[in-house]
Amino acid sequence: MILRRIAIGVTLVSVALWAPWPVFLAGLVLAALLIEDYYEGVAIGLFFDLLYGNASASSVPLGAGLVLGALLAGPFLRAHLRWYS
Amino acid sequence: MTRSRRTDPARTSRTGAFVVMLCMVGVLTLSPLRSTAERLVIFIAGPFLSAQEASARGINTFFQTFHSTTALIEKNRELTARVAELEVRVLDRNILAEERDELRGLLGRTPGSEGVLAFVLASPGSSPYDTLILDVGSAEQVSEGDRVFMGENVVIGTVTQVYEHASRATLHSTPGTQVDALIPGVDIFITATGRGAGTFEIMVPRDVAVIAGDPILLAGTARILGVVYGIEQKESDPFKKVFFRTPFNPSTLRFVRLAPTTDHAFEEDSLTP
Repeated sequence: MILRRIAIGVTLVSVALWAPWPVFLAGLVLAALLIEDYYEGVAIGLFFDLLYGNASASSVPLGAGLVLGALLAGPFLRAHLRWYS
Repeated sequence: MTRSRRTDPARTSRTGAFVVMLCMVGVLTLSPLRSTAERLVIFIAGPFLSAQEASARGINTFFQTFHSTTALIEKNRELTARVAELEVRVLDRNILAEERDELRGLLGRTPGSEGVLAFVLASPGSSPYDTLILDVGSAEQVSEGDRVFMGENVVIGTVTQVYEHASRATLHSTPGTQVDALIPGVDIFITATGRGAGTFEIMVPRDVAVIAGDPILLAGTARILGVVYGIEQKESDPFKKVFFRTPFNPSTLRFVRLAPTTDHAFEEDSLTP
């Protein structure tokens, strides 16, 4: 399980470096939705926000909201939707 | 015996981890700690971004070997013709530039500096913020507020954060950013609003003569901000929306030039002292 999470993390970082940013964001949201307690995804997103963003308040991205929402939605979907768990 | 939801330790630890993470996101993105965190991230990521740029070019070259020979020959022919056309334009431009420098000399103005050449480690294609990560910093005499040029005369942004061997520049076209601009010939000062990826929009009175291909200058300078590519006008509206963009796509940038705003060559060429 840990190896799988590491592999997913490495894949996401590679996508962030080599693919357009919407692809990275979609991958991050999907990983947060499907993987339980995927806090390392938030750390990866934060890393790239610090790398590319600037100091203005508007740099807090919509993406953070999407990822955090996916983290909250994941357990709920797993508990209530048979096909999801 | 079923566990009460309220005392479920797994749920409690998950809630606690979530709250800690939320606080961490808030602190690092909104507070002064951000600049320290940014410095550390740039230091770690710098070598990886350089490697990423080199490998992206290598991969591109590899895949180009699979293009058909006919397509490559046709593309080569097209580009050769385009280069010949641009060489003629550059000759005209060089003559004008020499005349300008001569006039500056007569007026006692010193010629502008070459500036600092910077390699772009990351461009807006990788980032949603319309920022450039550059491989030069305070060690190379880069300062906050330095102008970023694409080519000789196209100004695209300013340096907003400087580290020792890296810096971050924010493009003028960042969504929501406003910059003062000028329509030459018409001499109307306007405020251009960034739309992202090198594109801008401005609102001008409907009777202002602007057509696709017209340059838009940065106000108070003779530097090009962009070139008009589209105009949107409604019958009943007294204003029309003009769209313009940088001549080159910022996401394909590899090198830029940085020049301080105290550089007199940056100011508008004028025969009045």
